[in-house]
Amino acid sequence: MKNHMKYVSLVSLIALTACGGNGGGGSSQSTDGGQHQEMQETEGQYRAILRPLNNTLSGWIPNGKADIKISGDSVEVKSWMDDSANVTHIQSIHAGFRCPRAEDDKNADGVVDYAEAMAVAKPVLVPLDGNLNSQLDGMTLFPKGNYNYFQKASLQSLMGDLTAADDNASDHVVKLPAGKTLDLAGRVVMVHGIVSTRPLPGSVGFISGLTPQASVPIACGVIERL
Amino acid sequence: MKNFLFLCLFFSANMAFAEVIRSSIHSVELSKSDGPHMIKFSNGRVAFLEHQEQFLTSDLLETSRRGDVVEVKLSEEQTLLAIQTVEAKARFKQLNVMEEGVNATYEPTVLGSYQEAKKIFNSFNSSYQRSSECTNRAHIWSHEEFKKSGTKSMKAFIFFTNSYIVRNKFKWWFHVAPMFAVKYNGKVENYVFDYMFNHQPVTVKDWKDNFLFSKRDCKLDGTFIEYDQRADQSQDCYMMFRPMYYWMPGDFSAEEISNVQKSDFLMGDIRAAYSEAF
Repeated sequence: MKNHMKYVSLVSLIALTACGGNGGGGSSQSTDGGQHQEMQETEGQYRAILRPLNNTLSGWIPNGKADIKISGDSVEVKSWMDDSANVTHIQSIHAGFRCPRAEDDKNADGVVDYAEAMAVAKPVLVPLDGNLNSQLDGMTLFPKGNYNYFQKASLQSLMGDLTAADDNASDHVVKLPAGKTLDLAGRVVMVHGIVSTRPLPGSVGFISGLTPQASVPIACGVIERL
Repeated sequence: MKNFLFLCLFFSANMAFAEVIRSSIHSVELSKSDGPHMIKFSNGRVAFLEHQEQFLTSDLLETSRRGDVVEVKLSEEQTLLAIQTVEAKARFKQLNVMEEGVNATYEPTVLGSYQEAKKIFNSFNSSYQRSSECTNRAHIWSHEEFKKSGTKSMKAFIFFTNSYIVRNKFKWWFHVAPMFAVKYNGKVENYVFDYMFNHQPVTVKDWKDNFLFSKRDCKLDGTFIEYDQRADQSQDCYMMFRPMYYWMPGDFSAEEISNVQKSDFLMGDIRAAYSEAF
């Protein structure tokens, strides 16, 4: 909420300056109206069918679904994954608009690894972890194995965090540029993780701090508005 | 029909990660060597039973013959951990719209372009249930498109041989998806619309390669009875194509044994498919 109020105040200030300072009240109203408009446009139900990627690695054909419902200030994310590997599955909404394909294996090592997938799906926007209100909080709480996942969040809190300053511009998590909306439709949900004992080529890229097996993407889907 | 506890077994295997499935048993294939026995369920799933669990095999064979619906717990390796009957009943053959001795040639609709194919693909019902059976999803997708546009499609069935299943600890013994004829680059080719596993319509080869880690070709000229009773284990898979009215592998048996063919959707099949999958 604090971040949101700061955001509104900043936008109000810019609007006042742009309009020559006249009708400050009017500017505030149009900003509030713009924020409300954005929330209304974001409202709705969305779905991503999570289809397998790198399926020869997991020894199975992982598949799942992610449903997102936005109503007023409420954001609900429900997802499931059928995968026999009893491992932690990092799952996230990414900033990009295309799922990786086999052709994106640029070094031809037989695996579309984390780096190759990120080149297409782009950095993480919303980690679907234990806390949707914050990108960084809750990142130790991803679901595991054959999972069902459900989390709720405040849209204002989520957007406030997404539009805040990026404390670490070099990591794989990115903020929304100022003035940008969430624009879920068309963005990508990706899921990662195979058993730790599965051998991988030495050329496979990985998330800093994790193993290549924990990092390799196994499923991806494009979000559609229902 | 009364439910009764048939047999409940708990093995010493780790129960912490167990998958539960519910289905009748299609067949029990006893291993001739020291390897595990294989149980094939009607929903396409496979389970393994350790060779030393001899006392259970006759019960499983009887359960398969009766068509009882069982609930089973499987380990991560698809090993049978526990089993109990949840619905004991005789399995009656559906009175199909099957015409004896009819050899009418089925003419699938040819879609005019790959764009048209993608449009149909993207309109498939995405509200399927988790762990729904492929037979039911494929049947509803085909039926809904036929009702909407009159488009006559096919079904692509892939049957995995025991040697492939054992080698890869594969979860299924068969899989099915709708298949449409599409005019693309001047020629007509079959594309499989497996909405759950692919992002767009794919060629039969690409669809097959999704599931066949060996990427070998499937045997195309075999019958279902041959696959079911004496499959060539040097092969990894058999592939068969049928009109969209064919729902389950059992429909192949009726065709091959009695020369009767399905020539329409059965509302009983459709209702059962909706009920399970959507």
